[in-house]
Amino acid sequence: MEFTRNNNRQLLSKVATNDRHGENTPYFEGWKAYDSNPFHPTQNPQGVIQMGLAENQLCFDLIEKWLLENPDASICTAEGVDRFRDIAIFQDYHGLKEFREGVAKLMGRVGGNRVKFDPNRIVMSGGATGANETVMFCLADPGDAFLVPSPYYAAFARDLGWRTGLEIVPVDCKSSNNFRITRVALEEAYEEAQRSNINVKGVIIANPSNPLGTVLDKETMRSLVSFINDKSIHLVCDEIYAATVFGSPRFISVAEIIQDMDCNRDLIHIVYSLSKDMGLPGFRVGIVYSFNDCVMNCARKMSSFGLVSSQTQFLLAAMLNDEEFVGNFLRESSKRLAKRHHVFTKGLERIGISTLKSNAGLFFWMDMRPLLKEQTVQAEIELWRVIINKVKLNVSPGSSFQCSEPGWFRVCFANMDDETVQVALERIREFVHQGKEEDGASEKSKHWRKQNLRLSFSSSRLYNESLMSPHMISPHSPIPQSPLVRART
Amino acid sequence: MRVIVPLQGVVQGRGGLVLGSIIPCALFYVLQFYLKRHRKDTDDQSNSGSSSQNPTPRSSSCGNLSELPGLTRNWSRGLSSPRSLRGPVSVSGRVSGIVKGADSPYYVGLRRAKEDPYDELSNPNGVIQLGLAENKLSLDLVEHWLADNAEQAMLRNGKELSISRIATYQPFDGLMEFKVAVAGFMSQVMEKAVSFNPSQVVLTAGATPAIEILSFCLADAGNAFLVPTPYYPGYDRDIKWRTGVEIIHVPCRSADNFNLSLAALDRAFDQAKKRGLKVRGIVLSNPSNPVGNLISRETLYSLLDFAREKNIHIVSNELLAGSTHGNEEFVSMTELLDPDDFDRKRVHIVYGLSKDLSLPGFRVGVIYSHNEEVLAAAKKLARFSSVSAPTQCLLTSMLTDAKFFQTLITINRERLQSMYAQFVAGLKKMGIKCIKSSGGFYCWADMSGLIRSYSEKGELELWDKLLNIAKVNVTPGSACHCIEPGWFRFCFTTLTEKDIPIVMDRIQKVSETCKLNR
Repeated sequence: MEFTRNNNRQLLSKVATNDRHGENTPYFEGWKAYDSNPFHPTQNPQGVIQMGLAENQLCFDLIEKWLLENPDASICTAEGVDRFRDIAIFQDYHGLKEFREGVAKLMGRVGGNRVKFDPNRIVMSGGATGANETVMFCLADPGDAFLVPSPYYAAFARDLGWRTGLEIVPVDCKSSNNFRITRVALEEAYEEAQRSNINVKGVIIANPSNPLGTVLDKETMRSLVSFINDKSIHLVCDEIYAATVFGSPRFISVAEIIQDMDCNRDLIHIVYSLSKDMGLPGFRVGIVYSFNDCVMNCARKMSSFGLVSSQTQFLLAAMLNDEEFVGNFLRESSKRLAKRHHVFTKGLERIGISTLKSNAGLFFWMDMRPLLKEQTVQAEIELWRVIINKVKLNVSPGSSFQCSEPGWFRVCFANMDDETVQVALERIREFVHQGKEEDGASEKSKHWRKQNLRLSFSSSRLYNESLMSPHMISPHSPIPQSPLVRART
Repeated sequence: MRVIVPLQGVVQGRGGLVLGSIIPCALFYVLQFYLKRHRKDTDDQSNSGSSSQNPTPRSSSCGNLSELPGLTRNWSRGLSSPRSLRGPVSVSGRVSGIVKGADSPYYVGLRRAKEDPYDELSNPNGVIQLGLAENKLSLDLVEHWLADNAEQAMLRNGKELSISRIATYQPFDGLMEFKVAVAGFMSQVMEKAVSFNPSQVVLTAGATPAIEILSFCLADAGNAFLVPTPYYPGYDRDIKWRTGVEIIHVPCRSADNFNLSLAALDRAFDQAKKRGLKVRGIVLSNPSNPVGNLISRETLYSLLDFAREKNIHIVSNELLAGSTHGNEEFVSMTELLDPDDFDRKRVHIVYGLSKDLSLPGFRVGVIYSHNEEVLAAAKKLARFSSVSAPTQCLLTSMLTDAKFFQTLITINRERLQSMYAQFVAGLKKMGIKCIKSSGGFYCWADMSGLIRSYSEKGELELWDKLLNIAKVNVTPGSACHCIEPGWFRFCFTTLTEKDIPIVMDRIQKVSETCKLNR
């Protein structure tokens, strides 16, 4: 029987052929535009600036310095090689004791030292992506659902639902109260789900929030815990941006909240990672910290599918147990994030663009509603395409975060150097002024906008993998090389 | 009497019809109510945990723990802890899946050996680990390479420091330079019979997720794979656990030297059909684990024909391709694939650096396929199980040093050959025969002469004696779903030559007591 193309697709599973990986959405399309025309200050100054990737590159110099000063931490150096044998063989899914201790210390520190985390509860996974998926595998069966306050991380649909079969029920939050999660909204969403016979297993939140960059206050946290406790459903807190907080209000971990609340701890689970706080996404370190023994044991066995490389564990154990370094790093990182955030938000204010007040994360939530033709998702996508093609900035449209109000955009600011920041601001300034001039002119402005809306993705070359030069990332991979990398090489 | 009369009335068609129906219904409801109350009472007496069933309708698996033997302790502990004052919480069905597997001798033995590990000086009475297929024989070579080449290892890219190479987001299916290095290494390992294309490589955090990812790509929940037994105990987790895919056993027998028979494969396929299970593919290990034999070229061709005929996939786990030690030729499934053959899209290879390079801790697995759609899906799924970037950078330099790993492979083979010969000879002296095998880190030994009853029970009794009296951890055939009792897998690659007599001594003691008891 000849193996025809049709035959091929039929021979694959539903998981392999459905769209639940979410990579055909605008969130990832923006990357494709960046991939094909990446900005470089000297080699390609007209390229697209990547502002859709939440990566923290502001403190690489500190990490580099530490690595050079501590060659014995990398077992691949002459100083460290005598530990090599043990580490190379080590594949125990409990993980290296020193590594778990280092992570527990970091989590405690990041929470302001108000909680102590137990190293024996630390479970590894393949990045925060793997951690979120693992927790869902442990808590929900196919067809179950989780409540997720919107706007939420664009890839949650993939991480929480692709292989697990979980459904997401969004809980809409409004700009009128700064997108706060209200008890009323949660109750409504829950009741609605019950009426539609959807089995809600829990709530998942990101605190600090992605894409908002805000930190949940104590009352909201307590209200959330009380809600899930009453319904006897789970609460998963994705705290991967915990150390990116600068200024006030401070970050409050759910672990701190439950310390003085009467709550069933078997319902509380934390997801953590080093990708954002420490700026080490390449290390693929995801952590599941559950207060539920069953879930912890199950997640630990599942960690075989995404164990952290023992070489990386060893390296991080040394780094995270160096308390002086960690303290200094967290302080510096906060400072630099605060400064960068200030430069951007003030710069935008002067141009007349407002942003949601935030003090965390590697991004801010930009309000472009005044620039929309009409308050619809269609208009938002049209504006987004203009920003990508004309202004040449890859920002992420609010609709990809399931935001119920069109016109908001997430802009990442921590993955570029200072000069690029100025270029980006300048481009936005020009765009807005141009828009204002033409608005002042006449009806012509509407025509102008319409003209620019046609996609310039006319050449299918962009999507043809085989034509891409070997060193370029496939357009299907949403994670490109960041501009800073290009600037260095 | 008062009850029976109305019933009689029903039977005789008199006015007792109403009462005759109401009373039994009422009795039924009273019974349910009574049972419900009784259940609630036993739950409140938290320390028993024996007959408790779940009072709350939503709680599923955590509650079921009590029904499984040996776990009542956990259940009652859970109940009596202050956390669960409101009763057990509802988790997923997958949680209960692991509890059943937890008592498998494979895992129990590994745990015991970990808790009480043998050490020549500090713990001479500890448990000797012969249950983990880990190769320590040639680690020293890798170590020396690192010591000599540390400069180029992780951070440096030529002469420059490049923190962003290891710290930032990289393609989730692996860095291209590393893929090129791995493809080259695979080609060397398989004696240059095949050349592997780096753009058809997807890297994963170990072979464990590689197998799971392929299971997710090739089969839906409820479908099945044919897997020859005995097989690696981890397949039950990797293929079945989170995917919901079934495994159909294809038994191999000692009469065939545990080689796969096409007749058995056919029978298994038909049986699956009768059970209403759709078979999506075959999963093979070549060299096989736990037996260690290599699949012959003819058998590989027959398997391809079979797959073509039934329109299914073949996953060939060639993780131990570089760890052959006999005179038999290792043939990779990819060697048989014609570039023009459309059916090569059915074949998917799993590889990794855990066995041949002795780096299980570094978590490097490979999926290799000619099927673009499988590759596209696998690349996206690798997002959940990516290889750490610093590890990739370190290993890229190691794997591009062709001279080094050529030497490594050759010396490793010699050492394996020597250890295998000595170990098998040692067992033979005690009258324990091993299957003639050419690959892997272990030998597959027939100890059926020593078991009291020719059954799984007898085999496990012997396993228990070996673990607790002789203090050696070996893997019993039943953990690998072997259809014939009495077979055991002994891994010898964590030993040094002088450990062998000690192991043999210990086994000898147990073997003598077993012979006496028969």
